[in-house]
Amino acid sequence: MQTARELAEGFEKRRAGRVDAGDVRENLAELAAAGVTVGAIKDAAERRAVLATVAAGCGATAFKLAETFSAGMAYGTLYDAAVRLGLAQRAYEIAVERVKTRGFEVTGLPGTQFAVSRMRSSLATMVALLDRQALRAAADGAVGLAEACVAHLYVAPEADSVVSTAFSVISGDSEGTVRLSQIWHDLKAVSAPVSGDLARELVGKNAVGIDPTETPRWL
Amino acid sequence: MKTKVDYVALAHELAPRFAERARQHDADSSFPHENMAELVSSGYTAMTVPAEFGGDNATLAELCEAQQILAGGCASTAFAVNMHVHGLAMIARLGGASAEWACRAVVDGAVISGGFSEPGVGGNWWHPTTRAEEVDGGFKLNGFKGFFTGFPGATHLFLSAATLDDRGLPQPMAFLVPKPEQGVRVVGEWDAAGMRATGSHSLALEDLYIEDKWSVGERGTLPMLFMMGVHWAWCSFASCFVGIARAALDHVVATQQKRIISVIGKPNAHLPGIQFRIAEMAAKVAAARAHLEAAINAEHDDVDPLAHYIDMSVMKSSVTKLAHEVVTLGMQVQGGSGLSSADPLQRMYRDVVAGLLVPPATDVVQEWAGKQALGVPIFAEPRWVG
Repeated sequence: MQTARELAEGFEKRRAGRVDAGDVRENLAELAAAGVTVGAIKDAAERRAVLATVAAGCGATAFKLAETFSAGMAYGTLYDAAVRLGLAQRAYEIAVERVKTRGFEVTGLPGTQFAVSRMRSSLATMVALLDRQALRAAADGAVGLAEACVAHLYVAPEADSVVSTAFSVISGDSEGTVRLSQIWHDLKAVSAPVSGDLARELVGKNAVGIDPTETPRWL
Repeated sequence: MKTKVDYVALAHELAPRFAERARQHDADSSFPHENMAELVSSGYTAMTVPAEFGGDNATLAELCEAQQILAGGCASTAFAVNMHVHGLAMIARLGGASAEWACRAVVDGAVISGGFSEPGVGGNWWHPTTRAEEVDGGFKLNGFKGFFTGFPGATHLFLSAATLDDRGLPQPMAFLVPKPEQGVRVVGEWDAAGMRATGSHSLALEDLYIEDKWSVGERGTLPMLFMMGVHWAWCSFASCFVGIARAALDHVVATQQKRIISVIGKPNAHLPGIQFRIAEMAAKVAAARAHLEAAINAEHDDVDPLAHYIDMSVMKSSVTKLAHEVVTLGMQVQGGSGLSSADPLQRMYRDVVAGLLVPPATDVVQEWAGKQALGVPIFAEPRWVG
């Protein structure tokens, strides 16, 4: 984890001020050279933690790394959610860090405080949910995938919301906005392994006891 | 040797009977005395009594799961008894004489209701406006209590008041006293849109004499005691509302699995719109349960009291908001029939709103959590810039 954290900090610094997706290939090579690979990290919880950490430095790199970690759609969905969580966590850190540099004139505003609290609350729920659903996603087949999709259905829009709130919190801070723009781009530029609509279908059918392979699909 | 009661199984046994009575109590705004009697006779009310005083010393996780199940049957009953089970857990963990007598009384059938909310305090429970004047052998209390949940079924009252120190500053105190025959007057019967059977009356305390022996904890330490035990309060509060959300999801799913509209000839559950909204409900229920479970399993002892209080408060705010969203979505799935008085969903819809309103006050949580994250002193003045 320490290695991943240090590398992620490097990825973020190297990407400073740029509008592209970052040096994904080079980043992945550095991670591989440091032993952050699918072969070296066997535990699913550790993989999620590594993905969230790498995402803090470069989301595109983390999404690519997630692809190499994935063993099936359920885990792929959880890993994708872990990357989105990591991006949201980094947006929160940046917002807090940047706004603190502006002093009590800004941190002393109730709107700032309430927004930061909402982000914090949302992140705490996301972390807990991802841990919970990871255990449940171990179930076989459609049920396991539906459990993973439960996490994604919540985490994906919440991550967007946290980053969006971060923009509001640091409003007027151009340097911070550039970094948040990279995070926003990372969130939006990569499609989830299971789309939101398909996730809703799978979770909904699982809840009401309908086989998702049944035809006709709907009435 | 006494066999430990499985309180979650007991809640599963009791909840269906409570659900049958819930509609009438909701309609009448009547207190469910028969439910409370069953909770006492079954030993449910003694769940948080430590083993040395004859109880089962139920864990926070057991309490919260049992309360969720109970709330799924009758949220009012669950919320009324919640004041008792979590309040007792907090008192028991203080130790000392008051803990011992309170626990032994509960094993013998005592029921506690709690009163910390006051008109004009705005959720700032650590600033009680009820005054405790020192008199010979005890205190004389004067003030008002709002939302004294469970009052009609209580044998004992757990309430707060403040003495004034020699500088004239308030020192919050707590008392646990057998329900007095004099000095407490119901000034407002509970008649609300939701949680109608909780008996959350408004009380006037008028020269209420309380002997010294009924005080709990050291004078002035109430805020610290509460912060250190706050997980019992906010996790159990949240559990009642998660329980409503879980029951709403189950109810909506069961209805949509059975309801057949003639033009499609199959249950509504086959419709994409129904599935999508149920999926959203399921995701929010899972999120609420996850955050609650994380709070239940968090470190509670070796903690900074204020940070602990804020973490638990953030959880309660997040979880009750999610529970409210779940039931609101459920109403959309259920359609017009969900508004019918015959459908328990409309009661859940009214009950779950209370989760947004019960302590801790959301605005205070947001202020404190935001300030803590930003490194702004929480109690410093000026409170805000400008």
